[in-house]
Amino acid sequence: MKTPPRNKLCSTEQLSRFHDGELDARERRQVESHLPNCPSCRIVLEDFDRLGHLYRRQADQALAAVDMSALEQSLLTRMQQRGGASAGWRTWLKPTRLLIPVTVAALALVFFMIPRPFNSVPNGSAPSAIINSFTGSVTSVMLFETPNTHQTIIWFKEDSTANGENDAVENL
Amino acid sequence: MPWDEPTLVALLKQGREEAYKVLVQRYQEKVYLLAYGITLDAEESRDIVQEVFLKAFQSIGKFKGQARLATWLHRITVNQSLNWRRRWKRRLRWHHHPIESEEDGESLELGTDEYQAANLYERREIDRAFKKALAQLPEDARAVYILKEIEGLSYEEIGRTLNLKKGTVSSRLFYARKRLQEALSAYRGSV
Repeated sequence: MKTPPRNKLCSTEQLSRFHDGELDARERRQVESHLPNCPSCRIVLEDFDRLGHLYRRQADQALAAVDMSALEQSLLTRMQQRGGASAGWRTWLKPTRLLIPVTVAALALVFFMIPRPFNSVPNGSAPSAIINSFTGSVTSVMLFETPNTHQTIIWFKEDSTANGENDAVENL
Repeated sequence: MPWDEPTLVALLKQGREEAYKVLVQRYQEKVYLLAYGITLDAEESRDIVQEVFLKAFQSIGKFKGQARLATWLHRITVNQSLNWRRRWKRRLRWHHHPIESEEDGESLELGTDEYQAANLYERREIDRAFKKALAQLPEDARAVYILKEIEGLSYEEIGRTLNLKKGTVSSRLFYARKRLQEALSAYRGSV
């Protein structure tokens, strides 16, 4: 169906605000007196209604596909686990956020630097270990390189307070 | 439990477990719908619901009561949903979509007559076109549209939630509607 021609009184943004009850009294009266004579604006308003209806239908379908009680249960369990230690837990965790990557870095350095009887590199060029590492407020990242094959390993750790333990190791 | 908002907030600040239960029961569907509206990804939205409430749980001490609890939760949800880390993760995730997700809704039932089947088919087509158009909207315009359609918030409330001026809310909402309207114009009269 083609939209009927529109005239200069038809402002779609104004109709959008009219639809949402956001016009002041004077503007609202203007639109109300314009609508009976303008099929084009009436169609736009009907479209806005239909779009809202469509969205709510999709939202209902999305909601029906989720087991909300299971979600609630899992959430409350996680909250209880965190709540058990409450403030003490949080104050303990803050320094740990730095401690974990630092410990891993130290262990990696020790691992690469200890002389080993087997698989040692004969040419005297020491294998690179940590190429770079940085710790921000939300993530910690370390770059390693393997001694023989010179593969780069990225170690990435997200903020465990917000997202749980989501470590990801990628081998490039 | 018929707690009013100040009572609920006070009990949450005391760390009372039953208050958290009430908070989750009262708001989890809305948080889910808002997250889903922005991400259009069910799995992602379930994660976001968890994060939002855990964040609320951690930060309730900082909640001053100047905004409504719902506004505060909406703000956390929108921030979490728009969070760059999620987008990054989303890009890395294996794109595994179960076959049902292609259908998105009820399946054709045996025994339906031709008319019903055609109707169902058309309805599914419209839903698919709508979802596609929604996915093509910028996330910030989508967030405004969803807060309006799901929550029925006023422009002022949406502005408070998203830290936007009323005029910006109005123009984003108008933009979202215009784009959706254009995308769905072929189905006018069928919805």
